[in-house]
Amino acid sequence: MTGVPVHRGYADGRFGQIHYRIAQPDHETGKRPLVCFHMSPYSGVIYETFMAEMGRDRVVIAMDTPGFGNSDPSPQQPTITDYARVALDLLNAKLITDVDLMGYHTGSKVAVETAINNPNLVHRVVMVSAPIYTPEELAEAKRIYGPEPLKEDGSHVQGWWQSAVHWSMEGRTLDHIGRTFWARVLNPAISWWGHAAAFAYDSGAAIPKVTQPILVLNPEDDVWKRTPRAKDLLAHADSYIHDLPGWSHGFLDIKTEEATHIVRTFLDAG
Amino acid sequence: MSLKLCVVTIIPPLALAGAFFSLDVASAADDGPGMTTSSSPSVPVRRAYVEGRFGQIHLRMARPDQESARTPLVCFHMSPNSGRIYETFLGHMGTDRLAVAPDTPGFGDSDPPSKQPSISDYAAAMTDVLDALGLTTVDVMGYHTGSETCVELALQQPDRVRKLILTSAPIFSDEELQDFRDHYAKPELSEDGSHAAKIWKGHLFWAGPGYTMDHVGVQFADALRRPDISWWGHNAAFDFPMGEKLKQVTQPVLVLNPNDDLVEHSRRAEGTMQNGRIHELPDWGHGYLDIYTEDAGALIRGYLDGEPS
Repeated sequence: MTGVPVHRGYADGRFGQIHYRIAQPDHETGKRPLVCFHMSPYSGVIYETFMAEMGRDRVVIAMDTPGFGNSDPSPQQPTITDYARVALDLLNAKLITDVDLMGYHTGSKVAVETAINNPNLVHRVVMVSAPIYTPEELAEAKRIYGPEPLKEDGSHVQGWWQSAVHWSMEGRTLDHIGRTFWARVLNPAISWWGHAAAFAYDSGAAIPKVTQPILVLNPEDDVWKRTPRAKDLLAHADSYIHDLPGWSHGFLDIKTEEATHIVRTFLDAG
Repeated sequence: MSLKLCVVTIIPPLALAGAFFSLDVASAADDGPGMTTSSSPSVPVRRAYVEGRFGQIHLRMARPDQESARTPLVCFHMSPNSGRIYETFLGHMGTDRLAVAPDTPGFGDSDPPSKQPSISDYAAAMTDVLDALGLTTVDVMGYHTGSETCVELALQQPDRVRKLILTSAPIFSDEELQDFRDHYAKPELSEDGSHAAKIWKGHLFWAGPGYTMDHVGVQFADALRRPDISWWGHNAAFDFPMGEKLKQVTQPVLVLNPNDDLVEHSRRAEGTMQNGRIHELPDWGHGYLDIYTEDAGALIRGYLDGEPS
Protein backbone atom coordinates (compact mmCIF):
# COMPACT_ATOMS: atom_id res chain seq x y z
CA MET A 1 0.00 0.00 0.00
CA THR A 2 1.97 2.98 -1.23
CA GLY A 3 -0.82 5.44 -1.95
CA VAL A 4 -0.31 8.79 -3.64
CA PRO A 5 2.87 10.87 -3.27
CA VAL A 6 3.17 13.14 -0.25
CA HIS A 7 4.76 16.49 -1.01
CA ARG A 8 5.79 19.26 1.33
CA GLY A 9 5.51 23.01 1.19
CA TYR A 10 5.32 26.29 3.07
CA ALA A 11 2.64 28.92 3.51
CA ASP A 12 2.90 32.17 5.41
CA GLY A 13 1.02 32.72 8.63
CA ARG A 14 0.88 35.18 11.48
CA PHE A 15 3.91 33.66 13.23
CA GLY A 16 6.02 33.12 10.12
CA GLN A 17 6.32 30.17 7.81
CA ILE A 18 3.92 27.24 8.16
CA HIS A 19 5.27 23.92 6.94
CA TYR A 20 2.86 21.30 5.70
CA ARG A 21 2.58 17.98 3.91
CA ILE A 22 0.06 17.50 1.13
CA ALA A 23 -1.29 14.48 -0.73
CA GLN A 24 -3.92 14.57 -3.43
CA PRO A 25 -5.39 12.53 -6.27
CA ASP A 26 -4.43 13.38 -9.83
CA HIS A 27 -8.03 14.20 -10.68
CA GLU A 28 -10.89 16.21 -9.20
CA THR A 29 -13.12 14.09 -6.92
CA GLY A 30 -15.53 16.65 -5.50
CA LYS A 31 -14.68 15.62 -1.94
CA ARG A 32 -13.83 18.16 0.71
CA PRO A 33 -10.18 18.54 1.67
CA LEU A 34 -9.07 17.06 4.99
CA VAL A 35 -6.64 19.06 7.14
CA CYS A 36 -4.83 17.22 9.95
CA PHE A 37 -3.20 18.44 13.17
CA HIS A 38 -0.59 16.41 15.03
CA MET A 39 -0.01 15.47 18.65
CA SER A 40 2.60 17.10 20.90
CA PRO A 41 5.47 17.25 20.29
CA TYR A 42 6.05 15.62 16.86
CA SER A 43 4.96 17.08 13.52
CA GLY A 44 2.80 16.37 10.49
CA VAL A 45 5.18 13.48 9.78
CA ILE A 46 2.90 11.25 11.90
CA TYR A 47 0.28 11.47 9.12
CA GLU A 48 2.56 10.62 6.18
CA THR A 49 1.43 7.03 5.63
CA PHE A 50 -2.20 7.81 6.42
CA MET A 51 -2.41 10.79 4.09
CA ALA A 52 -0.85 8.87 1.21
CA GLU A 53 -3.86 6.55 1.46
CA MET A 54 -6.49 9.20 2.23
CA GLY A 55 -5.08 11.32 -0.59
CA ARG A 56 -6.35 8.84 -3.16
CA ASP A 57 -9.74 10.55 -3.22
CA ARG A 58 -9.28 14.01 -1.63
CA VAL A 59 -6.71 16.67 -0.83
CA VAL A 60 -5.14 15.88 2.54
CA ILE A 61 -2.92 18.40 4.31
CA ALA A 62 -1.00 17.90 7.56
CA MET A 63 0.21 21.11 9.15
CA ASP A 64 3.25 21.39 11.41
CA THR A 65 1.98 23.33 14.44
CA PRO A 66 3.97 26.55 15.04
CA GLY A 67 7.20 25.69 16.86
CA PHE A 68 7.08 22.05 15.72
CA GLY A 69 8.46 20.38 12.65
CA ASN A 70 9.54 23.11 10.26
CA SER A 71 6.98 25.73 11.23
CA ASP A 72 8.20 28.93 12.81
CA PRO A 73 7.33 29.27 16.49
CA SER A 74 5.04 31.87 17.98
CA PRO A 75 6.96 34.65 19.74
CA GLN A 76 5.35 33.80 23.08
CA GLN A 77 4.05 30.58 24.59
CA PRO A 78 0.88 29.93 22.57
CA THR A 79 -2.63 28.73 23.30
CA ILE A 80 -4.79 26.29 21.37
CA THR A 81 -6.59 29.38 20.08
CA ASP A 82 -3.30 30.63 18.61
CA TYR A 83 -2.74 27.30 16.91
CA ALA A 84 -6.30 27.42 15.53
CA ARG A 85 -5.67 30.89 14.14
CA VAL A 86 -2.60 29.62 12.33
CA ALA A 87 -4.65 26.72 11.00
CA LEU A 88 -7.00 29.30 9.54
CA ASP A 89 -4.02 31.13 8.02
CA LEU A 90 -3.10 27.89 6.27
CA LEU A 91 -6.66 27.29 5.04
CA ASN A 92 -6.74 30.82 3.69
CA ALA A 93 -3.32 30.48 2.07
CA LYS A 94 -4.48 27.30 0.34
CA LEU A 95 -7.79 28.94 -0.66
CA ILE A 96 -9.79 26.24 1.10
CA THR A 97 -13.41 27.27 1.68
CA ASP A 98 -14.93 23.96 2.79
CA VAL A 99 -12.95 21.52 4.88
CA ASP A 100 -13.01 18.56 7.25
CA LEU A 101 -10.55 18.49 10.13
CA MET A 102 -8.73 15.71 11.94
CA GLY A 103 -6.64 16.06 15.06
CA TYR A 104 -4.53 13.74 17.17
CA HIS A 105 -4.41 14.49 20.92
CA THR A 106 -3.29 18.17 21.07
CA GLY A 107 -4.27 18.37 17.42
CA SER A 108 -7.81 17.26 18.23
CA LYS A 109 -8.14 20.37 20.40
CA VAL A 110 -6.86 22.51 17.54
CA ALA A 111 -9.51 20.90 15.35
CA VAL A 112 -12.25 21.61 17.90
CA GLU A 113 -11.24 25.24 18.33
CA THR A 114 -11.00 25.76 14.57
CA ALA A 115 -14.43 24.19 14.09
CA ILE A 116 -16.02 26.41 16.77
CA ASN A 117 -14.54 29.58 15.30
CA ASN A 118 -15.36 28.70 11.68
CA PRO A 119 -18.75 26.97 11.60
CA ASN A 120 -19.33 27.75 7.93
CA LEU A 121 -15.91 26.57 6.85
CA VAL A 122 -15.55 23.34 8.80
CA HIS A 123 -18.02 20.55 8.03
CA ARG A 124 -16.89 17.50 10.00
CA VAL A 125 -14.31 16.80 12.70
CA VAL A 126 -12.36 13.65 13.52
CA MET A 127 -10.70 13.62 16.92
CA VAL A 128 -8.13 11.00 17.85
CA SER A 129 -8.92 11.01 21.58
CA ALA A 130 -10.94 13.63 23.43
CA PRO A 131 -9.61 13.37 26.97
CA ILE A 132 -11.51 15.10 29.76
CA TYR A 133 -9.33 15.39 32.85
CA THR A 134 -10.12 15.64 36.53
CA PRO A 135 -8.21 18.45 38.28
CA GLU A 136 -5.89 15.86 39.82
CA GLU A 137 -5.18 14.20 36.47
CA LEU A 138 -4.55 17.56 34.89
CA ALA A 139 -2.06 18.57 37.57
CA GLU A 140 -0.24 15.28 37.12
CA ALA A 141 -0.18 15.66 33.30
CA LYS A 142 1.24 19.17 33.58
CA ARG A 143 3.95 17.90 35.89
CA ILE A 144 4.93 15.03 33.56
CA TYR A 145 4.88 17.04 30.35
CA GLY A 146 6.53 20.26 31.52
CA PRO A 147 9.94 21.60 30.46
CA GLU A 148 12.71 19.02 30.68
CA PRO A 149 16.40 19.76 31.11
CA LEU A 150 18.85 18.38 28.58
CA LYS A 151 21.31 15.96 30.14
CA GLU A 152 24.92 15.33 29.23
CA ASP A 153 24.45 11.57 29.20
CA GLY A 154 21.55 11.77 26.76
CA SER A 155 19.20 10.07 29.21
CA HIS A 156 16.50 12.61 28.34
CA VAL A 157 16.48 11.40 24.72
CA GLN A 158 16.63 7.82 25.85
CA GLY A 159 13.59 8.42 28.06
CA TRP A 160 11.65 9.91 25.15
CA TRP A 161 12.47 6.90 23.00
CA GLN A 162 11.45 4.44 25.73
CA SER A 163 8.16 6.28 26.13
CA ALA A 164 7.53 6.04 22.38
CA VAL A 165 8.24 2.30 22.51
CA HIS A 166 6.07 1.81 25.60
CA TRP A 167 2.98 3.43 24.11
CA SER A 168 3.30 1.84 20.66
CA MET A 169 0.67 -0.63 19.58
CA GLU A 170 1.48 -4.20 18.70
CA GLY A 171 3.02 -4.40 15.25
CA ARG A 172 4.74 -1.04 15.45
CA THR A 173 8.44 -1.70 15.01
CA LEU A 174 11.53 0.25 16.03
CA ASP A 175 11.85 1.23 12.37
CA HIS A 176 8.37 2.77 12.49
CA ILE A 177 9.31 4.74 15.60
CA GLY A 178 12.61 5.76 14.01
CA ARG A 179 10.77 7.38 11.10
CA THR A 180 9.00 9.91 13.34
CA PHE A 181 11.08 10.11 16.54
CA TRP A 182 13.30 12.93 15.30
CA ALA A 183 10.25 15.19 15.28
CA ARG A 184 9.83 14.46 19.00
CA VAL A 185 13.37 15.67 19.60
CA LEU A 186 13.28 18.95 17.65
CA ASN A 187 13.40 22.32 19.42
CA PRO A 188 13.72 20.91 22.95
CA ALA A 189 13.66 24.37 24.54
CA ILE A 190 10.05 24.89 23.49
CA SER A 191 8.75 21.43 22.64
CA TRP A 192 6.70 21.42 25.88
CA TRP A 193 4.62 24.34 24.62
CA GLY A 194 2.23 22.05 22.77
CA HIS A 195 1.33 20.04 25.84
CA ALA A 196 1.08 23.21 27.93
CA ALA A 197 -1.40 24.67 25.44
CA ALA A 198 -3.37 21.41 25.42
CA PHE A 199 -3.62 21.23 29.21
CA ALA A 200 -4.67 24.88 29.43
CA TYR A 201 -7.55 24.25 26.99
CA ASP A 202 -10.91 23.45 28.53
CA SER A 203 -12.16 20.67 26.28
CA GLY A 204 -15.12 20.11 28.58
CA ALA A 205 -16.37 23.59 27.81
CA ALA A 206 -15.31 23.62 24.16
CA ILE A 207 -16.61 20.33 22.78
CA PRO A 208 -20.32 21.16 23.44
CA LYS A 209 -19.87 24.29 21.33
CA VAL A 210 -19.00 22.27 18.24
CA THR A 211 -22.10 22.26 16.06
CA GLN A 212 -20.61 20.01 13.41
CA PRO A 213 -20.61 16.19 13.60
CA ILE A 214 -17.63 14.78 15.49
CA LEU A 215 -16.15 11.30 15.23
CA VAL A 216 -13.99 10.53 18.26
CA LEU A 217 -11.57 7.68 17.67
CA ASN A 218 -10.55 6.17 20.98
CA PRO A 219 -7.51 3.91 20.68
CA GLU A 220 -6.24 2.13 23.77
CA ASP A 221 -3.48 4.65 24.41
CA ASP A 222 -2.43 6.83 27.35
CA VAL A 223 -5.71 8.77 27.44
CA TRP A 224 -8.25 6.17 26.39
CA LYS A 225 -9.93 5.94 29.81
CA ARG A 226 -10.46 9.71 29.80
CA THR A 227 -12.02 10.00 26.36
CA PRO A 228 -15.37 8.28 27.15
CA ARG A 229 -16.08 11.19 29.50
CA ALA A 230 -16.65 13.31 26.38
CA LYS A 231 -19.64 11.22 25.29
CA ASP A 232 -22.29 13.48 26.80
CA LEU A 233 -20.52 16.60 25.53
CA LEU A 234 -21.03 15.80 21.85
CA ALA A 235 -23.70 18.20 20.63
CA HIS A 236 -24.52 16.98 17.12
CA ALA A 237 -26.77 13.93 16.76
CA ASP A 238 -24.36 12.37 14.27
CA SER A 239 -21.40 12.57 16.67
CA TYR A 240 -20.10 9.43 18.35
CA ILE A 241 -17.15 7.75 19.98
CA HIS A 242 -15.57 4.80 18.18
CA ASP A 243 -13.56 2.68 20.60
CA LEU A 244 -10.50 1.01 19.11
CA PRO A 245 -9.36 -1.59 21.65
CA GLY A 246 -5.94 -2.99 20.87
CA TRP A 247 -4.99 0.05 18.84
CA SER A 248 -2.56 2.59 20.23
CA HIS A 249 0.10 5.00 19.03
CA GLY A 250 1.29 4.11 15.56
CA PHE A 251 -2.15 3.00 14.33
CA LEU A 252 -1.99 5.50 11.46
CA ASP A 253 0.98 3.48 10.15
CA ILE A 254 -0.08 -0.01 11.25
CA LYS A 255 -3.83 0.10 10.67
CA THR A 256 -3.76 2.56 7.79
CA GLU A 257 -6.34 0.84 5.64
CA GLU A 258 -8.80 0.28 8.48
CA ALA A 259 -8.30 3.82 9.81
CA THR A 260 -8.86 5.44 6.43
CA HIS A 261 -11.99 3.33 5.94
CA ILE A 262 -13.43 4.47 9.29
CA VAL A 263 -12.54 8.12 8.64
CA ARG A 264 -13.79 8.09 5.04
CA THR A 265 -17.10 6.52 6.04
CA PHE A 266 -17.68 9.28 8.59
CA LEU A 267 -16.52 12.17 6.42
CA ASP A 268 -18.47 11.09 3.37
CA ALA A 269 -21.72 10.57 5.31
CA GLY A 270 -22.61 14.22 5.12
CA MET B 1 17.17 32.69 24.51
CA SER B 2 16.27 35.91 22.84
CA LEU B 3 13.79 36.29 20.05
CA LYS B 4 14.16 38.53 17.07
CA LEU B 5 11.16 39.63 15.08
CA CYS B 6 11.81 40.74 11.57
CA VAL B 7 9.74 41.94 8.66
CA VAL B 8 10.90 41.01 5.21
CA THR B 9 11.06 43.82 2.73
CA ILE B 10 9.18 43.03 -0.44
CA ILE B 11 11.59 41.31 -2.77
CA PRO B 12 10.97 39.95 -6.25
CA PRO B 13 10.69 36.17 -6.00
CA LEU B 14 13.49 34.16 -7.47
CA ALA B 15 12.70 31.92 -10.38
CA LEU B 16 11.92 28.77 -8.43
CA ALA B 17 10.72 25.47 -9.79
CA GLY B 18 8.78 24.77 -6.60
CA ALA B 19 5.18 25.89 -6.34
CA PHE B 20 5.21 26.76 -2.66
CA PHE B 21 7.70 29.59 -2.45
CA SER B 22 7.34 33.30 -2.22
CA LEU B 23 9.32 36.01 -0.51
CA ASP B 24 6.76 38.71 -0.96
CA VAL B 25 4.98 38.69 2.35
CA ALA B 26 5.65 39.75 5.90
CA SER B 27 7.41 37.12 7.94
CA ALA B 28 8.26 36.71 11.56
CA ALA B 29 11.12 35.10 13.35
CA ASP B 30 14.36 34.34 11.61
CA ASP B 31 15.03 32.36 14.70
CA GLY B 32 12.83 31.74 17.65
CA PRO B 33 12.86 30.70 21.23
CA GLY B 34 15.00 27.66 21.52
CA MET B 35 16.77 28.35 18.27
CA THR B 36 20.41 29.24 18.07
CA THR B 37 20.91 32.97 18.27
CA SER B 38 23.86 35.15 17.49
CA SER B 39 24.60 38.77 18.21
CA SER B 40 26.06 39.25 14.73
CA PRO B 41 24.18 41.40 12.19
CA SER B 42 21.67 39.24 10.40
CA VAL B 43 18.69 39.09 8.07
CA PRO B 44 15.78 36.63 8.24
CA VAL B 45 16.38 33.08 7.06
CA ARG B 46 13.52 31.55 5.11
CA ARG B 47 12.90 28.02 3.99
CA ALA B 48 11.56 26.65 0.71
CA TYR B 49 11.46 23.66 -1.60
CA VAL B 50 12.67 23.36 -5.16
CA GLU B 51 12.38 20.39 -7.47
CA GLY B 52 15.40 18.22 -8.17
CA ARG B 53 16.18 14.96 -9.90
CA PHE B 54 15.48 12.95 -6.72
CA GLY B 55 12.34 14.84 -5.72
CA GLN B 56 11.87 17.85 -3.52
CA ILE B 57 14.96 19.64 -2.24
CA HIS B 58 14.53 21.67 0.92
CA LEU B 59 16.66 24.74 1.44
CA ARG B 60 17.25 27.71 3.68
CA MET B 61 18.09 31.09 2.25
CA ALA B 62 18.86 34.62 3.32
CA ARG B 63 19.40 37.75 1.28
CA PRO B 64 19.80 41.49 1.75
CA ASP B 65 16.95 43.95 1.24
CA GLN B 66 18.76 45.50 -1.69
CA GLU B 67 19.97 43.71 -4.78
CA SER B 68 23.56 42.58 -4.19
CA ALA B 69 26.27 42.42 -6.83
CA ARG B 70 28.19 39.91 -4.77
CA THR B 71 28.39 36.31 -5.90
CA PRO B 72 25.79 34.12 -4.16
CA LEU B 73 27.13 31.64 -1.61
CA VAL B 74 25.72 28.10 -1.56
CA CYS B 75 26.54 25.93 1.47
CA PHE B 76 26.53 22.14 1.80
CA HIS B 77 26.25 20.44 5.19
CA MET B 78 28.02 17.59 6.94
CA SER B 79 26.59 14.07 7.43
CA PRO B 80 24.04 13.41 8.76
CA ASN B 81 22.59 16.80 9.81
CA SER B 82 21.00 19.29 7.43
CA GLY B 83 21.26 22.87 6.21
CA ARG B 84 20.19 23.82 9.73
CA ILE B 85 23.90 23.89 10.70
CA TYR B 86 24.20 27.02 8.54
CA GLU B 87 21.10 28.81 9.82
CA THR B 88 22.84 31.41 12.00
CA PHE B 89 25.65 31.81 9.48
CA LEU B 90 23.23 32.28 6.56
CA GLY B 91 21.45 35.04 8.45
CA HIS B 92 24.78 36.81 8.80
CA MET B 93 26.14 36.22 5.30
CA GLY B 94 22.77 37.19 3.87
CA THR B 95 23.33 40.78 4.93
CA ASP B 96 25.36 41.42 1.77
CA ARG B 97 24.70 38.51 -0.60
CA LEU B 98 22.29 35.69 -1.33
CA ALA B 99 23.22 32.81 0.98
CA VAL B 100 21.63 29.38 0.49
CA ALA B 101 21.93 26.06 2.31
CA PRO B 102 20.13 23.09 0.73
CA ASP B 103 19.46 19.85 2.56
CA THR B 104 21.35 17.08 0.76
CA PRO B 105 18.95 14.50 -0.76
CA GLY B 106 17.95 12.08 1.99
CA PHE B 107 18.75 14.52 4.79
CA GLY B 108 16.72 17.19 6.51
CA ASP B 109 13.55 17.59 4.49
CA SER B 110 14.93 16.69 1.07
CA ASP B 111 13.65 13.57 -0.65
CA PRO B 112 16.18 10.73 -0.81
CA PRO B 113 17.55 9.20 -4.01
CA SER B 114 15.97 5.87 -4.89
CA LYS B 115 19.27 4.09 -4.27
CA GLN B 116 22.47 4.68 -2.37
CA PRO B 117 24.07 7.82 -3.87
CA SER B 118 27.60 8.98 -4.57
CA ILE B 119 29.09 12.42 -4.04
CA SER B 120 28.66 12.85 -7.78
CA ASP B 121 24.91 12.33 -7.32
CA TYR B 122 24.81 14.89 -4.53
CA ALA B 123 26.69 17.40 -6.68
CA ALA B 124 24.31 16.81 -9.58
CA ALA B 125 21.34 17.39 -7.27
CA MET B 126 22.95 20.62 -6.10
CA THR B 127 23.16 21.67 -9.74
CA ASP B 128 19.38 21.25 -9.77
CA VAL B 129 19.23 23.76 -6.91
CA LEU B 130 21.39 26.26 -8.80
CA ASP B 131 19.19 25.82 -11.87
CA ALA B 132 15.99 26.22 -9.87
CA LEU B 133 17.29 29.42 -8.28
CA GLY B 134 18.63 30.71 -11.58
CA LEU B 135 22.17 31.04 -10.25
CA THR B 136 24.74 31.18 -13.03
CA THR B 137 27.83 31.88 -10.90
CA VAL B 138 28.25 30.87 -7.27
CA ASP B 139 30.75 30.52 -4.50
CA VAL B 140 30.36 27.24 -2.64
CA MET B 141 31.06 26.31 0.95
CA GLY B 142 31.12 22.82 2.38
CA TYR B 143 31.39 21.21 5.76
CA HIS B 144 32.98 17.72 5.88
CA THR B 145 30.85 15.65 3.44
CA GLY B 146 29.67 18.97 2.04
CA SER B 147 33.28 19.87 1.23
CA GLU B 148 33.49 16.87 -1.06
CA THR B 149 30.25 17.91 -2.73
CA CYS B 150 31.84 21.32 -3.31
CA VAL B 151 34.89 19.78 -4.94
CA GLU B 152 32.82 17.53 -7.18
CA LEU B 153 30.49 20.38 -8.14
CA ALA B 154 33.48 22.60 -8.95
CA LEU B 155 34.72 19.87 -11.31
CA GLN B 156 31.30 19.24 -12.85
CA GLN B 157 30.54 22.96 -13.26
CA PRO B 158 33.91 24.71 -13.71
CA ASP B 159 32.43 27.82 -15.26
CA ARG B 160 29.75 28.13 -12.63
CA VAL B 161 31.67 27.66 -9.40
CA ARG B 162 33.95 30.63 -8.73
CA LYS B 163 35.58 29.95 -5.34
CA LEU B 164 35.43 27.20 -2.72
CA ILE B 165 35.43 27.39 1.07
CA LEU B 166 35.93 23.97 2.62
CA THR B 167 35.50 23.30 6.31
CA SER B 168 37.98 20.44 6.38
CA ALA B 169 39.32 18.68 3.30
CA PRO B 170 40.04 15.24 4.67
CA ILE B 171 42.37 12.87 2.86
CA PHE B 172 42.22 9.43 4.47
CA SER B 173 44.59 6.48 4.51
CA ASP B 174 43.08 3.08 3.70
CA GLU B 175 43.25 2.07 7.35
CA GLU B 176 41.52 5.24 8.49
CA LEU B 177 38.84 4.78 5.88
CA GLN B 178 38.02 1.33 7.20
CA ASP B 179 37.81 2.66 10.74
CA PHE B 180 35.52 5.47 9.66
CA ARG B 181 33.31 3.12 7.66
CA ASP B 182 32.93 0.87 10.69
CA HIS B 183 32.20 3.78 12.98
CA TYR B 184 29.62 5.39 10.70
CA ALA B 185 27.85 2.24 9.53
CA LYS B 186 24.06 1.97 9.54
CA PRO B 187 22.87 2.59 13.11
CA GLU B 188 21.08 -0.24 14.88
CA LEU B 189 17.96 0.96 16.65
CA SER B 190 17.67 -0.29 20.21
CA GLU B 191 14.60 -1.01 22.31
CA ASP B 192 16.02 1.01 25.20
CA GLY B 193 17.00 4.08 23.17
CA SER B 194 20.69 3.69 23.91
CA HIS B 195 21.46 4.29 20.23
CA ALA B 196 19.98 7.81 20.49
CA ALA B 197 21.84 8.56 23.72
CA LYS B 198 25.07 7.39 22.07
CA ILE B 199 24.59 9.80 19.17
CA TRP B 200 23.84 12.60 21.64
CA LYS B 201 27.02 11.91 23.60
CA GLY B 202 29.00 11.83 20.37
CA HIS B 203 27.72 15.27 19.48
CA LEU B 204 28.66 16.61 22.91
CA PHE B 205 32.09 14.98 22.75
CA TRP B 206 32.94 16.79 19.53
CA ALA B 207 31.33 20.10 20.49
CA GLY B 208 33.86 22.88 20.01
CA PRO B 209 34.65 25.77 22.36
CA GLY B 210 31.52 27.65 23.44
CA TYR B 211 29.15 25.11 21.91
CA THR B 212 26.66 24.19 24.64
CA MET B 213 24.10 21.47 25.16
CA ASP B 214 21.45 23.94 24.04
CA HIS B 215 23.26 24.34 20.72
CA VAL B 216 23.51 20.57 20.35
CA GLY B 217 19.82 20.33 21.21
CA VAL B 218 18.96 22.51 18.22
CA GLN B 219 20.92 20.38 15.73
CA PHE B 220 20.65 16.90 17.21
CA ALA B 221 17.26 15.86 15.85
CA ASP B 222 18.58 15.95 12.28
CA ALA B 223 21.07 13.21 13.13
CA LEU B 224 18.17 10.93 14.11
CA ARG B 225 16.24 11.28 10.87
CA ARG B 226 15.85 8.39 8.45
CA PRO B 227 18.00 5.90 10.41
CA ASP B 228 17.52 3.45 7.54
CA ILE B 229 19.55 5.65 5.19
CA SER B 230 21.27 8.26 7.37
CA TRP B 231 24.57 6.44 6.80
CA TRP B 232 24.45 7.11 3.05
CA GLY B 233 26.11 10.50 3.41
CA HIS B 234 29.14 9.20 5.23
CA ASN B 235 29.34 6.24 2.90
CA ALA B 236 29.37 8.49 -0.14
CA ALA B 237 32.04 10.64 1.50
CA PHE B 238 34.30 7.68 2.23
CA ASP B 239 33.98 6.48 -1.37
CA PHE B 240 35.04 9.86 -2.74
CA PRO B 241 38.74 10.10 -3.72
CA MET B 242 39.23 13.53 -2.17
CA GLY B 243 43.00 13.66 -2.74
CA GLU B 244 42.73 12.99 -6.46
CA LYS B 245 39.73 15.23 -6.96
CA LEU B 246 41.12 18.17 -5.01
CA LYS B 247 44.20 18.18 -7.25
CA GLN B 248 42.02 18.72 -10.30
CA VAL B 249 40.22 21.80 -8.99
CA THR B 250 41.41 24.93 -10.77
CA GLN B 251 39.29 27.42 -8.84
CA PRO B 252 40.64 29.11 -5.69
CA VAL B 253 40.15 26.98 -2.56
CA LEU B 254 40.32 28.07 1.06
CA VAL B 255 40.38 25.17 3.50
CA LEU B 256 39.26 26.13 7.00
CA ASN B 257 40.75 23.67 9.45
CA PRO B 258 39.16 23.88 12.89
CA ASN B 259 40.35 21.62 15.66
CA ASP B 260 37.78 18.89 15.09
CA ASP B 261 37.80 15.20 14.25
CA LEU B 262 39.31 15.80 10.78
CA VAL B 263 42.04 18.28 11.65
CA GLU B 264 44.96 15.95 10.92
CA HIS B 265 43.41 14.44 7.80
CA SER B 266 42.82 17.89 6.32
CA ARG B 267 46.46 18.96 6.70
CA ARG B 268 47.34 16.37 4.06
CA ALA B 269 45.65 18.61 1.50
CA GLU B 270 48.52 21.06 1.88
CA GLY B 271 50.50 21.20 -1.35
CA THR B 272 47.98 19.15 -3.32
CA MET B 273 45.84 22.06 -4.48
CA GLN B 274 46.53 24.00 -7.68
CA ASN B 275 45.19 27.20 -6.23
CA GLY B 276 44.40 26.67 -2.59
CA ARG B 277 45.63 27.08 0.93
CA ILE B 278 44.79 25.89 4.41
CA HIS B 279 43.78 28.27 7.17
CA GLU B 280 44.32 26.68 10.57
CA LEU B 281 41.75 27.47 13.24
CA PRO B 282 43.13 25.80 16.35
CA ASP B 283 40.73 27.59 18.72
CA TRP B 284 37.56 26.67 16.82
CA GLY B 285 35.72 23.36 16.65
CA HIS B 286 32.32 22.00 15.70
CA GLY B 287 29.72 24.70 16.13
CA TYR B 288 32.01 27.55 15.14
CA LEU B 289 29.42 28.77 12.64
CA ASP B 290 27.13 29.51 15.59
CA ILE B 291 29.75 30.61 18.11
CA TYR B 292 32.10 32.66 15.92
CA THR B 293 29.57 33.68 13.31
CA GLU B 294 30.86 37.19 12.74
CA ASP B 295 34.54 36.17 12.76
CA ALA B 296 33.81 33.33 10.35
CA GLY B 297 31.86 35.73 8.16
CA ALA B 298 34.75 38.21 8.09
CA LEU B 299 37.25 35.49 7.27
CA ILE B 300 35.13 34.08 4.47
CA ARG B 301 34.17 37.48 3.10
CA GLY B 302 37.84 38.41 3.05
CA TYR B 303 38.59 35.43 0.86
CA LEU B 304 35.55 35.58 -1.38
CA ASP B 305 35.55 39.33 -1.89
CA GLY B 306 39.09 40.41 -1.20
CA GLU B 307 41.48 38.02 -2.81
CA PRO B 308 41.67 37.97 -6.59
CA SER B 309 40.14 35.00 -8.35
